[in-house]
Amino acid sequence: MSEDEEFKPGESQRIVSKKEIKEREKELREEKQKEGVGVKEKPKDLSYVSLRHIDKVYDNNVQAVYDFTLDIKQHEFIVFVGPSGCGKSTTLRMIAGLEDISNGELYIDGEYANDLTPKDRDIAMVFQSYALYPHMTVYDNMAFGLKIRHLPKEEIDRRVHDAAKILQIEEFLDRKPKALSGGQRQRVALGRAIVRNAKVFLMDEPLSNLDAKLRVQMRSEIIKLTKTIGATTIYVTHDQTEAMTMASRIVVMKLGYIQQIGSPIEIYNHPANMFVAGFIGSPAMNFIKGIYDKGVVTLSSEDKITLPPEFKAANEAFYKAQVEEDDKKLAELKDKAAGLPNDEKLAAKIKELEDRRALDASGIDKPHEVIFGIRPEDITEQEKGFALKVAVAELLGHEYYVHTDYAGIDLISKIPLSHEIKIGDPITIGFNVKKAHLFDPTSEKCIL
Amino acid sequence: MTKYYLYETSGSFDEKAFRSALSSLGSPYDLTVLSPTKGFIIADENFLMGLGNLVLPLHDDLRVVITFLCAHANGPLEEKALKQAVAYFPNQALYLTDVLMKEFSFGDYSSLPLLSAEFKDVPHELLLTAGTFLRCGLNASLAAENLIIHRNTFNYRLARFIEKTGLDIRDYHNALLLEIYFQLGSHR
Repeated sequence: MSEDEEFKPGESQRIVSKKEIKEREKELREEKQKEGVGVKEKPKDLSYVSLRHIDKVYDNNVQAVYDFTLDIKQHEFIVFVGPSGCGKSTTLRMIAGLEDISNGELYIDGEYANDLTPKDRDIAMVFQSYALYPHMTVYDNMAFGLKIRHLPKEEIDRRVHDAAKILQIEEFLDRKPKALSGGQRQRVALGRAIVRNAKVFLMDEPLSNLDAKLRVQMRSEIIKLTKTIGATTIYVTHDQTEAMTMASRIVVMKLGYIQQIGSPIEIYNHPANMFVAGFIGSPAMNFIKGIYDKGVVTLSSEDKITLPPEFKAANEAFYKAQVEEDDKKLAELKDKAAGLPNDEKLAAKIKELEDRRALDASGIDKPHEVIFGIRPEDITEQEKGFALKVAVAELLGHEYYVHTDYAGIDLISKIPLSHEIKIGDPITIGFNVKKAHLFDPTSEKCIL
Repeated sequence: MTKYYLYETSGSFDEKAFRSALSSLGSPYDLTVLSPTKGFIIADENFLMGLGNLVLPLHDDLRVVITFLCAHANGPLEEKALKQAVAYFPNQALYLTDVLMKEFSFGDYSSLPLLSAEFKDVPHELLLTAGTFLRCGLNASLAAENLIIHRNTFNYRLARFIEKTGLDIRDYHNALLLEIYFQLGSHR
């Protein structure tokens, strides 16, 4: 049905597919852009790659990405990290143009890119499974994409040889992929991306198919390579070690939402919530339930930990801010409820938020539940402390990962190798409380 | 054995580059382009393995999502399955039976009438021959014995079945399609 046709109820209509609706919406957007009508002004604070409030909703109404906003500077190496299904690959594919953006805006080098075809985005992709033509030589694999673009033969040859030199695969140019090792194939895959001289490199778990030792080697090679060619890189991985060692900034994701954006050291030392704290770092942070009261945490083991003075101020500030946020949300909901007096769901939401507010308010200056977080390397063997028994001792060469049953959890400590530690041995440990963290158990946000 | 490889892409692409990539597989093929985003290839039964290896590099170079569907024919059942394949298995090379079984796993049996239509004009005697062949694990001698017919008669009937349906059930995936029909479609 065209825009000019009038809808007459009862008349049979052609059923329009969602694909047709999207295509028509795109056409209308392009027409409006040409006429300059209703066109959103380009934000002034754009970075090299800017994603603003991007959502991804599939046809079956499953939402994979929620309100993704990120500014990436030129030459940055950004890593999206998170468990499987968190939306990191979907976001990467939206940047590449291989998935539509449901809502929000994408800008690449200042240009509005939502409706640009993948071909027009000047982006190079590197995949987990190498993406090589199995029956073409390494040379032809690297040259194929350039031939499609009708580059002159001499230019193609120059680019292929330059990339091969950087990647140290010149001697393999006549070989086919089956004659190469996994690491060599991945270098060819990188070579296919490099020859494009693209503005942005997108890498989707490129090292996942490699064995552990090769992964370590390729990690440093990729870092050196991207620095050499000055690429702006967006790298997706589920491996937090890759994220920590490679990124200039990390975007931690969970269930479609950004949890935190920051440098590796910021994320590690100041995690925004329990998910980030537990996901980043290996072994993971230990979490122990406790009750906080005026600067002292009583753990579920009944042990008391006196925290540094800054925790008191941080606790107060945290819960005051929570109460402010709760008051704002309550005001909005009550406004809404004024117009919908019989809405039971809304009433239940308001009650829930009021209870929440009361809990947050009590957190300011009354004893309240917290989660005490301490990283394994901030637990030390000492003469005086918590007397425990070793449940498991994993020797890594220069240190042990010592597992003990403490406060109802498997507490893991990193103990340097100064003497042999065996299962059943007594061990006395203490916490470096200056490096400890407190989390609110309801919101799981970090207090400090 | 000849197979059809239907394909659909998310956008138009360089046909010459596509042909060049297909040629790199080293197997003979015939490409028919129906539209900027759809077409089919006729090639032997092993071509799908090669196509599977091409999907990702083609996706990277041509910058389109491409889905291949391998089937014994190119009719309404296959067209419907290709649409479903694009929805459920984008950027993959797969068999008609893969798509049908995915549909069934979602409780969607809408393809069964189309599947049944492929066999509605096949004489009972030929269906019995083909069905017995499946039951006997594609063992022709055993099937002939079970049908109490001469081996030559069996071969003749099987050849007539293949001619009538276009479905050479000596191929695993074709046999699987017939099995699906017997199990789910034949009572409709």
